[in-house]
Amino acid sequence: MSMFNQDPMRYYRTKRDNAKRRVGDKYTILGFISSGTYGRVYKAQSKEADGRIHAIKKFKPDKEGEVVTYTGISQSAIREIALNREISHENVVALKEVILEDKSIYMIFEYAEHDFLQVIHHHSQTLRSPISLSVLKSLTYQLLNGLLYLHECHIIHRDLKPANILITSGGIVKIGDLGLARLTHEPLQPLFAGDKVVVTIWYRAPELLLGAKHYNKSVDVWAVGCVVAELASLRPIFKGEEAKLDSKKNVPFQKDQLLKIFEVLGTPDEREWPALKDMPEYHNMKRLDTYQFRLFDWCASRMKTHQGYEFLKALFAYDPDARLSAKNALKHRWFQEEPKPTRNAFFGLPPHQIPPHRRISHDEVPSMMPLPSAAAQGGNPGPPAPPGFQNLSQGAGRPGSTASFGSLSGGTGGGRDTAGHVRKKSRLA
Amino acid sequence: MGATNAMSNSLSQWLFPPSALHSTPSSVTSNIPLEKELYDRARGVEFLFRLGVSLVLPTSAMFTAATWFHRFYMRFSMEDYHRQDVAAACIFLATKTEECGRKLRDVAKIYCSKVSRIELKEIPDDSREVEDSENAILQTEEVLLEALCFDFVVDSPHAELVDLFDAREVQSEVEDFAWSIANDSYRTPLCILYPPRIIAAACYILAQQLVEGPQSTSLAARLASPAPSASLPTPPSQKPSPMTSRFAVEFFKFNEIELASVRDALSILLEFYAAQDLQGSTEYLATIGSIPPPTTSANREKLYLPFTHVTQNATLQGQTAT
Ligand SMILES: Nc1ncnc2c1ncn2[C@@H]1O[C@H](COP(=O)(O)OP(=O)(O)OP(=O)(O)O)[C@@H](O)[C@H]1O
Repeated sequence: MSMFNQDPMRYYRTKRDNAKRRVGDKYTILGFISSGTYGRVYKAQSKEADGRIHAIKKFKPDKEGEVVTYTGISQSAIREIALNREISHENVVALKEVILEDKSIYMIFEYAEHDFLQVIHHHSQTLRSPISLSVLKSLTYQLLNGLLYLHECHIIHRDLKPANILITSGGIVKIGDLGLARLTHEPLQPLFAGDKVVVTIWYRAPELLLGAKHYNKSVDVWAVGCVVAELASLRPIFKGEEAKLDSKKNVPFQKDQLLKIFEVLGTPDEREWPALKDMPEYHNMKRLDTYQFRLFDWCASRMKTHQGYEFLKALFAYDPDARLSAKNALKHRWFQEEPKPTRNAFFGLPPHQIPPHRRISHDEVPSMMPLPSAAAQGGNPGPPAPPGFQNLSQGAGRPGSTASFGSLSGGTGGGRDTAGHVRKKSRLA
Repeated sequence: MGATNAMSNSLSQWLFPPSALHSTPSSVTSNIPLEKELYDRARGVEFLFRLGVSLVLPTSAMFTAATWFHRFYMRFSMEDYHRQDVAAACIFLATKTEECGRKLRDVAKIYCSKVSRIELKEIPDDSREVEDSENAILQTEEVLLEALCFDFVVDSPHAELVDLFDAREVQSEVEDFAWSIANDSYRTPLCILYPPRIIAAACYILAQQLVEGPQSTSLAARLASPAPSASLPTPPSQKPSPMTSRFAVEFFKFNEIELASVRDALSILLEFYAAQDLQGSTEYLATIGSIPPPTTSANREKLYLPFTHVTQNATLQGQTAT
């Protein structure tokens, strides 16, 4: 506090001046990693003495309308930043800083050399052998550990899949991509509401597939089950075809994905899942062929031990309320039997069993984010021209409510009603 | 994990001592007198709330936006960034963080309708004014992000009040008053001076005093430390009784320093109310201006001048009533 008394703005100014610097002042872009839904991810090296490696996620600005015009800083970036700023855990990718430059947001993350998808590919394509039980268990344990942390922070990830679960070269699991994550107390939008939101259907929980309006953290646990099964068998366990929105944007019944699940877990019934008959898609589901439970057979060669089967079965409970929580999953007997999970998931592995380094390409770099060295070669290529504030002619404006306003200070007693507040912690906390 | 803490966000980094209000950018770089700045902050937040209500935003989004508004002017001058643009940018950004997205076009139209006092439905989608407002909002949004250092998450006194209310068995008028005073607190810079629980307690205690009337325990006694024995009906081991004048103080388990902060916060609120032109306002507002404040830190300078005085003295270009 004494520091503030001398110069209350000092902390603030340092912080802001840091944010004001341009990406190219602080980082050397080493290459381009991937192109995601909302932007691109680059590999970069800090210009500070430590020369640390980072992943930089660049968001495109928001666009609206058919004539593409700039409509503000990307909402997904804002969401992802807001969530990331509140958290810090060894098994969740750490956000190091955020830079706003030419209307694009750059999120600078700690770098993770590998991800689950890479590990799966490496074993299925190169090694042609299963992931060892010790690695499988270590990856699963750390994944659940990160998930438990998120859940305790009231965050639902909603998009867990092998590509989003990263691993450092030191074998530490880092949950990434909070782009679709939500705080549990916020009104949850249906996952398929926005047309640009795509959650991979293979990892989607049955209650979502059956159209449940309310869902909770247990959708993440289902996804963990799918990921564990995929690590164990090197292919997605429920590899269904997604039914697309029809021309009227009706949300379709996800028949194929449900069938893929039923083929392994059997058709659910009301005894194991009492709320089943209240699901919006219940009647559609009833028209499907019925299947027997055969997870036990599925696990026999893949999960090795009986506890492995029990573990997976508990993650795949149809009833979300009966499904294991992240916390209880970590306590499962499977983790207590040998081999025990290790903090470095790659501990003791011969080097060839560790997947190769993340591939980066260089062709994309100059056009997206000029290398600072380019400026030295005479001329000043500079950043791409900002999109500029053009006419938002196609914005299809739906006017908001014109509800009248009662002055909040004038008529205090009544004013709060016009604000339509609901005195619920869930709306405020 | 060294990098992990690099961005860790702590509320205290956004709390300023009240003396910082005397050296804001508006005052240092633009020579705007403090009373004028406070008047414009109040008007800006009023405008912000009106936008939020018209857009049917959840109240939590409006409280977040209002906090950002006050943070913004700890970094930029009111001369350089007009309060209405900043208010609109805060609202637009809050619709993104609070997951209640609204189209830029809709925010801009409501902004236009409020500024020009034209019915919303009279404003054509493609008017020049709407386009200009959109640009103003977008340009201000960028500056706002810079000012906020990407710290988006803020807590409100209302969440603390909910906890406090939950600890009571009976509902009462006090809760309604406390809630409204907490709304009003955003018209003052309290949210950048004190943490939410201090503000919540100040609002609650002021509400109690209002409801119980001028003959009841004075604010000074309600906030004295240690508690005057006469108003300490329960031994410390028992649950605080909701009826006592010390309920909030006991609920939040305030220490000496925090109690002093509640006293200061309360006196700022009272100063704010007293500065309003309360003529013709509701009965309770008329009385609020005359409540004697608790004794506060000796070195705190008075912040507010009567708003009527501020408007008379100020020569504003393009003055609007909001
Ligand atoms: N911290 C990181 N370290 C290394 N690589 C990363 C990191 N973060 C992301 N990546 C790489 O970039 C890819 C895309 O990142 P991310 O999933 O965050 O973006 P997205 O736009 O949300 O993508 P998607 O649409 O696939 O979910 C990841 O699959 C991974 O390959």
